Amino acid sequence: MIAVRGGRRRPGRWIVAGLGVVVLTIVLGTGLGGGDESASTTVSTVREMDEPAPALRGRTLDGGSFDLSELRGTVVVVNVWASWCSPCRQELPVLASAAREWAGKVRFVGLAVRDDEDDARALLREVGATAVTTVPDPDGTLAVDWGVRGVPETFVLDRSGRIRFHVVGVVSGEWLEQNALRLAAGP
Amino acid sequence: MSIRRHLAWLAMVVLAAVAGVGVWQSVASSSPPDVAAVGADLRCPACNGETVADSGSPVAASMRASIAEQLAQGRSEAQIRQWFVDRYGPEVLTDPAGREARLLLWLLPAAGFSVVVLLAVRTARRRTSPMSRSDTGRPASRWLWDVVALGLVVMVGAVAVVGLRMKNESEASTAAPVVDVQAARAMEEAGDYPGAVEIYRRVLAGNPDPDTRLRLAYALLRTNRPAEAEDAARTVLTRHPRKAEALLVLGLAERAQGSAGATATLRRFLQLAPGHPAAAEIRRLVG
Repeated sequence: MIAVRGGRRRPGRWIVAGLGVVVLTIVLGTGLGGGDESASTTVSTVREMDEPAPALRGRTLDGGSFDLSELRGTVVVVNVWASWCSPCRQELPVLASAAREWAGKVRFVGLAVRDDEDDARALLREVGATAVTTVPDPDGTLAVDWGVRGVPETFVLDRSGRIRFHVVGVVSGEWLEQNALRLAAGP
Repeated sequence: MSIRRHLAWLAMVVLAAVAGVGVWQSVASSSPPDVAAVGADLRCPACNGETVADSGSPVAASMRASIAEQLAQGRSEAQIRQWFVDRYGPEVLTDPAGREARLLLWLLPAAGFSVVVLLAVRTARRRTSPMSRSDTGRPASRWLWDVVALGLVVMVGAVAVVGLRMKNESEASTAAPVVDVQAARAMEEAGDYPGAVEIYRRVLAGNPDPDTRLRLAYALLRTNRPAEAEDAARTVLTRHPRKAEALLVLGLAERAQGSAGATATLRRFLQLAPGHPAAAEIRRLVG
């Protein structure tokens, strides 16, 4: 009798369990297989953020040494560029001009990625950007540590060393004035 | 035991062995990680459909250098993957679901299969027991077997379809030609516009991105193919009618073909983007 009662209950239980496994498998499989659309490439996008900046230290193109952590208390613009990048060549004079004009308020730092150092120095001289402290990054690993995807890219850091803006693409003088300079003028 | 039952048991043992090998292959790491192995798990963030291991773009080369640096420091493959996710987001992974989820994809059917084996064993025992012999031939029991068998078939089918999709995606990413927008831009800078056109066309075949189509239109213009440039610019404008660069290339393409509408198109560009770097030159052109 007990065996018979067990046999009567069993079909329902197994059906539910079997269907459960099937549904779970399909849901799991669909979740794993889909939803992985790659984002299309965008240019000149600005991302507002509030994250600590990675370390940035090393020798500079003019033979000195640089450590970003020593600039706490100052708004810093870190521009990632290369002399082989046409948009960077158009953008550098804007940065050079802002660096001269806002000296003491905003500090401009360059990261020359995978660049020939002589070419990079020549470009800085050509556009009058010698006031922009530039750290060479011959293998690009410093840029990767900053999550850089290409050149040019610009990061604006607040006084506490946190990244507040990340710009992918070229920045304009107007944008820098509205964001970096305003950040320096703030409390 | 009859031959039929022997064969059934043999089939079950073979299936269990195949499932075991599958689980082992999906989990086991065949060799210690190297730069290419880690790079194959990462997408090049500046490319279309290429991994860090395959891409010739500067950022992929930098990422490979970073992987080599971290491997030399003794970091594990999982730590390095996480390091890149922290900087580039989860989309940097070619397989964001990860090995753990893939293992689940194997284990779940294996668990379902085990349930069926258990059922089979129970039924086989009852068949040999005289007390329950009368139960085994009941329609309800047969119906139960049909449902379980159907469930198993559906489950295996679902896993097979998902597995095939995952395999196709990974094959597509590794077998993709050199479709690198940055490489094409470097070719443009070097004056090789026909080469850039070819690359942009291949990129667009896999990813109809409007910015890439505009680059193609511009490169076509530089290779004296204004009619094709006009087509490409118009394609962009159908989806993005206010895209100033598309109007610029369209206007220049129309102008190169002597079209009467060129001036109006370029004026519209100036209205939309008066501060564009090309605006001064275009003002001079349209007078």
